[in-house]
Amino acid sequence: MNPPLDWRMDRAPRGLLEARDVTLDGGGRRILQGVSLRAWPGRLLALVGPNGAGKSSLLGVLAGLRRPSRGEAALDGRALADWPAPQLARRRAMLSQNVRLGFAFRVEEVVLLGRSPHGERLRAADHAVAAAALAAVQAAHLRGRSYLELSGGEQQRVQLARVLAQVWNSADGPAWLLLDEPEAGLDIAHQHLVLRHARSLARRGYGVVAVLHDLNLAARYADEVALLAHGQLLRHGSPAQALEPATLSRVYGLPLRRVPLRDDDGWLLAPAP
Amino acid sequence: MVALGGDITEAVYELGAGAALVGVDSTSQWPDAARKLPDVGYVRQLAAEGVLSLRPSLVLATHDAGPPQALAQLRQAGVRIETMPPTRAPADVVAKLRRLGALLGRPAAAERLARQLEGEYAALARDVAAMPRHPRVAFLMTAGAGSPMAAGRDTAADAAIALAGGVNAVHGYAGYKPVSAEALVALAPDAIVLMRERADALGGVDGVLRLPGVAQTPAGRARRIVFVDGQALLGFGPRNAAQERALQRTLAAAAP
Amino acid sequence: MSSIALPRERTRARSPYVLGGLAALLLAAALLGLGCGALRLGAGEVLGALGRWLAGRPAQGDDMVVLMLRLPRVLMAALVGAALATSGAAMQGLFRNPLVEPGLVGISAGAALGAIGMIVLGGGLLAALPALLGSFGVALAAFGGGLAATLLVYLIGRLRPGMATLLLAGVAVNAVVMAGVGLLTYLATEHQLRDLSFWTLGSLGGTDWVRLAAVAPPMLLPVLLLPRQARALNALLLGEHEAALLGFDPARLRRRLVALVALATGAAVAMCGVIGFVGLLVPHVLRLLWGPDHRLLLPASALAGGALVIAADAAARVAVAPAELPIGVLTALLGGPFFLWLLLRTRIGEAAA
Repeated sequence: MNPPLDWRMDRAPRGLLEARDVTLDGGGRRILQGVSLRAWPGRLLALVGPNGAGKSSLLGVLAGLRRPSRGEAALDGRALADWPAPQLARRRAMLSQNVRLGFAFRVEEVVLLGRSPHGERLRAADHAVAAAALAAVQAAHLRGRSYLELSGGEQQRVQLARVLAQVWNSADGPAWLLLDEPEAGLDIAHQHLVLRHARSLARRGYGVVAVLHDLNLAARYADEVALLAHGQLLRHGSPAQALEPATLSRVYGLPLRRVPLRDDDGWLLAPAP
Repeated sequence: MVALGGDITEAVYELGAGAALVGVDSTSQWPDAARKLPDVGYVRQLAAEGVLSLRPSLVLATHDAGPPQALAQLRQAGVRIETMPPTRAPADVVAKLRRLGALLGRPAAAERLARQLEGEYAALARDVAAMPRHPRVAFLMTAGAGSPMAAGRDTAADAAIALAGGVNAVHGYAGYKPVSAEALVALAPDAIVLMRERADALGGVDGVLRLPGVAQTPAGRARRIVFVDGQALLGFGPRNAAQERALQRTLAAAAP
Repeated sequence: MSSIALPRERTRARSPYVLGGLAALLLAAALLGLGCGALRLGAGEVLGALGRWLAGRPAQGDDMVVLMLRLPRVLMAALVGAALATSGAAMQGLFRNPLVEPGLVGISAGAALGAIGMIVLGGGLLAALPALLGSFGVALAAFGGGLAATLLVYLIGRLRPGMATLLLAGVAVNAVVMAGVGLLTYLATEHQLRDLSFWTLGSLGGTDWVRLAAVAPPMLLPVLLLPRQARALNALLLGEHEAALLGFDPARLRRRLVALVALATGAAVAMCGVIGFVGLLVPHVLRLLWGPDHRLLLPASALAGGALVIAADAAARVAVAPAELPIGVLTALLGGPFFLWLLLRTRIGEAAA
């Protein structure tokens, strides 16, 4: 059973996560170029684009992990750089690609690491959150196992549970989940499980930003899609608006078209014949 | 009583006080009786409790016995420690012997031995003075694996060579350093001296002649390879005089 | 490792028992260390000596051996073991690598260079000091050398972000420092070489109350302060980014850890030479037994490390009595095969994963 989420939705302007004219340089090249993007709590925003478009970098900037060369990222209208680190950690969590943990923690201990920002000592409530987060990713049965014995997909779900536990039941305002390819390494059932869960969290007031490789997963689950290419934001809107076949074909260098689904009003993106 | 230092142990036995010893250090290899006594370890790395466990009333120590904390702890525990000054000259060797005789309560025996040593050193000095030429000597502390370690200036070996009428061929540096085969040839020693303790491992005179460079030296060409009792000679204890005279005779006979 | 059903909230529930058990082990080791030595003393004599000392009554018989030789030595062993093992645990966490030793950031090599430099080149300086102060001169040089090498590693490591640079800087500085040690060894006389072996093999010989008092603060402080970084270290095991996302500051953490470890290890090496494998072995075994949680691992390492070094030193004192073995020989003898086993086991683990 999940503990109740008790922030108040009536403070809607709070919780806005935005990139303001962000330019990011690194490794001698420009990674992001003048990106401005607003993400609202209660919605699932998918970042899509070809390899090297700057999706993960933008996510890093939105998490406060990377400091832009120009511009800034802000939460609640306040620049991330001005947030005390522990306070920010209670408001946003991020799932990175390939978290490598080479030590034999038990699964529950890994998830409890997500509770670090919530106090020096772990309390019973923290254990309840860890259990709920594990249940949310259908990994409750792994709780007592050694992390190193898990399969790659199981480890990915446990890391997701850790990230969920970090901002579970956030009391100071809408919390943010930043997911960098959360579907990577998962089988098709768990891919859909994870995104369905991400969307249901958004429905309950979380802000979710996910870098997704699979355009069809983005089309199916995202409320909004932002398309990046060469460090620039090309489109931002509903999946139907942002995933426009002509633009995608140009950006990916592969002719794409929409194939309508027969039993549903949706569509799939597929290479043109 | 505990003796620390090969030269001290030799003197204690020579003075007939060996029976009073309850322990020695690891450099005390002569006489055989000393090797049967409890060994308190290397003379510069003593453990206070190890020495104390032998319950000595007197510790006779060579000048570089240590570490200082261990000696301080022994003194704190009420053990009397007598430290001998370093010796590399005949007068000092004899003085050390007399002092040990006094400490051991055997002044008469010490006096007798001191007189005898003085006589031997005097004879040695006469023989050295009579040498027409003083051969160049290289003293190799170790040899076999890698470059041999030769004794330079300010070493016990340097003093021992001079006393026996030789000239240390290695005067370019102080202390013990490895010398290459080429350097050994360039030093051109008339005789090469090694420790007898290592003779077997080296394969005797023939083994030494096979070491790189040795055959090309005057010493190698004339097979003037000399083995000495290292502890007796370099410890500058009571057995030093006899060793020096033996070395002198060899060097004199070997003089080219 | 086999997967067994683990009791709920294992670490939380077990911590007091584990730490209590290890404290008892440390106490037992201390009694063993007080009870054995070259001099055969009965338990009654040892306890009597301690009793008379605590009650402020005059010493009698062999009390002095227990109180002036063994007691400071046992306390020194406990401190050195705790300092090395806790430092090892912290370094392994910092580098996210269970095969790391505290010496990796240059402390041991730097300390050896400082000590050896003082022994070989500082002869005139040492001779000018009274004998007892002279031995402190070597320890001070070792301490300074350890801190200097660590600072160098740290500064080079800061040129580029990430733990890998720090690690490689450590390897490079270690290599250069060891070349310096080699050069000094070449310059050393026969006697100095024997003194040098003390630094490479380690010994608790010559410990007295003065020396203990001199190095207790720099060793005790990190042992007490490092556990406060346990939560941050746990987070760091996930990676630097993850630790930052959890609200910790990896750069500040690294700075603190390196400083505390340099202080503890530098003091231990300065006084007792290089005692190998304690920093590697103890945290590793404890991790196998009770998991990698630093909230338990750091204090447990302190207790177990202390017990191990006390026991190894007791063995070093009685093995060839009345002489003593260098303690580093014993710990390496134990640690070498263990390290090999660890390496093979890790390989197998990786292949299975």
